[in-house]
Amino acid sequence: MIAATVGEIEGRLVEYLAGKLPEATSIRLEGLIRPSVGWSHEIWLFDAVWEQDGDVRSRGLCLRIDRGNTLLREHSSLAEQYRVLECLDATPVPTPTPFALEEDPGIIGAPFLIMDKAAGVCPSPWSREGKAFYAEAAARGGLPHSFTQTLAELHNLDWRAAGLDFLGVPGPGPDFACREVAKWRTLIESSGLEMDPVLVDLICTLEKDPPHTDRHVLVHGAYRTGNLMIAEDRVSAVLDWELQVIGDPMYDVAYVLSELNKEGSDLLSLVVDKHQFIEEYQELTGLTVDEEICHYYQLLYDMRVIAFWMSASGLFFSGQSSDLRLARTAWSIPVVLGQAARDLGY
Amino acid sequence: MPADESELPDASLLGFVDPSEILRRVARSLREEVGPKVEADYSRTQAFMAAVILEQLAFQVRSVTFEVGPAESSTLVNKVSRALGPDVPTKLATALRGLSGAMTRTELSGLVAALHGSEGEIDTERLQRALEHVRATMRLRLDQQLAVLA
Repeated sequence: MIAATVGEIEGRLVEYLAGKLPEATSIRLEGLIRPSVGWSHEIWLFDAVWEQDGDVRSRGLCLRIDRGNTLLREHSSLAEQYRVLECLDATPVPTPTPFALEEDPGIIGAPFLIMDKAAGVCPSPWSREGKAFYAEAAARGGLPHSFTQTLAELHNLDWRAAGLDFLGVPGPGPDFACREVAKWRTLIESSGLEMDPVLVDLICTLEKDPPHTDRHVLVHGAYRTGNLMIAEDRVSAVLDWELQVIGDPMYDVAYVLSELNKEGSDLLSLVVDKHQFIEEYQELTGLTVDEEICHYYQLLYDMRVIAFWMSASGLFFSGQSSDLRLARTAWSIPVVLGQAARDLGY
Repeated sequence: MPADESELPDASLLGFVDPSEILRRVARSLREEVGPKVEADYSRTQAFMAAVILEQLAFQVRSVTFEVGPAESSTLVNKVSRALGPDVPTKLATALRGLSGAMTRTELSGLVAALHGSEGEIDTERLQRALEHVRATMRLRLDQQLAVLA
């Protein structure tokens, strides 16, 4: 589906915002841009500026549009993302403030949500500039600590009190891991692409011996630089609430420890030393990092990444999307299969 | 218009530039001439992604096919059978017997799944040795694919 033009978005948004800000007049949008981030939804950033009570006011906002062709397919829900943001708004976990959820596609052509722009920057860890940014921040020392502390805050959260049990609570033992494997298997099968033998090997291995967990926390699912707003060497907001689940904290820890997120750096997520992270995380949460269980979840992440790329390229090659970034992912599949094979020991 | 593919001219015989070279040139134009001049962030990204895709296609014009050749396939089946020993579950034995000639990706996947599915029915060490032989073949295929992509 072709993305909306700037003019189309702008006109419809001004009208929509007028309904949400009844005391505002002369609403206009400034700096409306569509950054090249986000694989799941169409993202636009802008400042809403208006007059109210004789003053000029503004609010930085982020718009996420669900065009119905997200690579996560039925596993992605704007409504769920919005509800998670609402639940987390009153907690110590730093997240963007939710502004509006609109499920009526008649407003701008598809359902969307709007949230406040969070303070700070979120450099891409895959860019030269991003790598330099994180290297310098790591050297200053504040961000490594904030990175770990924010994850600990997330895992220490009383998710039931925050109203997050609507996400679904896994049963005891291996239920969480089994659910995750089944989820990504569904995504792989919906891509319409044939499974590689290495992927078959990976899935069979994962289904054979899932880990047991006694403690369930709010798991972000993609906790890394590139999904964190950074302001003054601190995490100002955790972004990308699409993959969250109630589950095993080692799932997030494994993601942090993953080679896939080091981008050639010696530091986890380009910012924190492994030993420093483990020591501080254990101290702040009271949990023990189990590297054997983390290895299982590393294999599961390999499966998940392959599922993403198969889904993405499947959307392009089936004609459901014209986004060339999705086509590009077809060539990433063998790379992750290679990583999976190495993680399986060959 | 040629009636069928056999009538299509061989581009190399006619002295035309190698198709993969054409793709690389187009990719270079997108990367160096088009992309940097596009102001809109999303559209600029599309131009660079198009360049990346064309470069990959340039390599794949001479890519390796997935298929495990007949000789390699036969060697693999023999190694797996020897590793498993005489008492092989019927389903797995049938899967092995069905593999003759070149092995496709689907057939190799089927062999992997059948081996994993036999856990508990075969001695663990034998099964692991058999799986290692198959994994060596998969590793070789992966390395060939990755060499093309590099």
